[in-house]
Amino acid sequence: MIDRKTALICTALIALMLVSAVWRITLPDDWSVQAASQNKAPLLPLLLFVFPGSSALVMGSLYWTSLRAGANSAKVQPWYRWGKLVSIAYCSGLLLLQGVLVAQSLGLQSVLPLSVIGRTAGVLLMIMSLLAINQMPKLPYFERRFSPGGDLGPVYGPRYLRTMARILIMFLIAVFAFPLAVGPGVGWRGTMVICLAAASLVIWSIAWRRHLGRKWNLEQGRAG
Amino acid sequence: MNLVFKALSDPTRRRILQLLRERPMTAGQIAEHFDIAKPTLSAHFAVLREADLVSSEKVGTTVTYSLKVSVLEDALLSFAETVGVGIGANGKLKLATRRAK
Repeated sequence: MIDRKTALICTALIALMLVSAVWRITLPDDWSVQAASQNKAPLLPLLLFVFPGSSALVMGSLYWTSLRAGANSAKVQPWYRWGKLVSIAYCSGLLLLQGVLVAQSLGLQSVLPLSVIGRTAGVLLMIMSLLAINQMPKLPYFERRFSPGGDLGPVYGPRYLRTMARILIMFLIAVFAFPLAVGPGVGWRGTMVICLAAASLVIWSIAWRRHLGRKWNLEQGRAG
Repeated sequence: MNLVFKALSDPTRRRILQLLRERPMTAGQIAEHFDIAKPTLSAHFAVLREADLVSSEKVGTTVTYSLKVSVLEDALLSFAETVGVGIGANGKLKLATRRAK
C-alpha cells in the first residue's frame, strides 16, 4: 500500500522512464542501424517500455490496494511504510536500468562501465525484492475489501500471507538463478517460461485464496 | 538477530511458535499444551515478544498471541526444529540436564 505522495513520486519516475524511451525512439540515428553496424542483434523499441510498464504495474497494484483498504487505521500504517520503501526503490532501480539501456543503445559502453552499473542495479533490485517479501508476513494482517475468496479471517489470512511470501521468495530465487544456470543467452524462450510460471502462480494463488475463503466461511457457519 | 537465535534455541518456545502457526491463541490456550508453571511460560512469551516473533493483543483480561515471523525466521524455526537445537541426545532438554547436574 502507498499513499498519494508516494504514488506521485513513483509516477514522476515512471514519466522519466517514458520520456527517455520516447526520446530514444525518436532520435534520428536509429539504434537498430547502429546495433547492426556493431554486429549485435537490434534492440526492440518495445523493450524500452518494459521497465515503465513493470513499474506502473507494481505502483498501480500497491495504490489500488490502498484505495480498497478503506479505514486509515493504525494496523495499515506499517503497510504504508513498507509500500513507500518498496515502490520508490523499485521505480528508482528500474529507472537506472532504463538509463543503462538507453546509454547502451547510444554506444556509450566505451565511456561508462554500463554493464557493471546494470549488473549492480539488478543485484540491488533482487536483494531489495527478497528483503521486502521476507518482511511481508511480519506486517499486521487485515482484510482487504473485494479480494478473491472474500474474508479469510484471522486464522487463514496470516497463513495465506506467510505461504505466499515463502513461495514468492522461492520463485524470485529461481528467476534470478535461471539466467545464471542457463548462461548469458537466456533469450525470449526463457522469458516466456518465466512469464508463464508467474501467470500460473497468480492463478494458483487466487484459487487457493478462494479455497481458504470457503473453508473459513464453512467454519464460521458451523460455529454460528 | 541475536534475540531471534536466542528465542529459537529453546524447544518450548519453538513449540509455542508451532502452535501459533495453526492459529492465534490466548495465553491460557497455549498453557494447556504445556506442563510447566505459568510464570515460566510468561517468561517464554516475553522472550518471544522481545525477539519480535509474536505479537500480543490484550482484550479485557485475555491476551491473544499471534505469530509474527518473517520468511527467514520461519525457515530458521524449521531448521532448528529439524536439527533439534537445545535437545540432548537422550531427547531431554539440555537446560534440564544442566540443572540436574
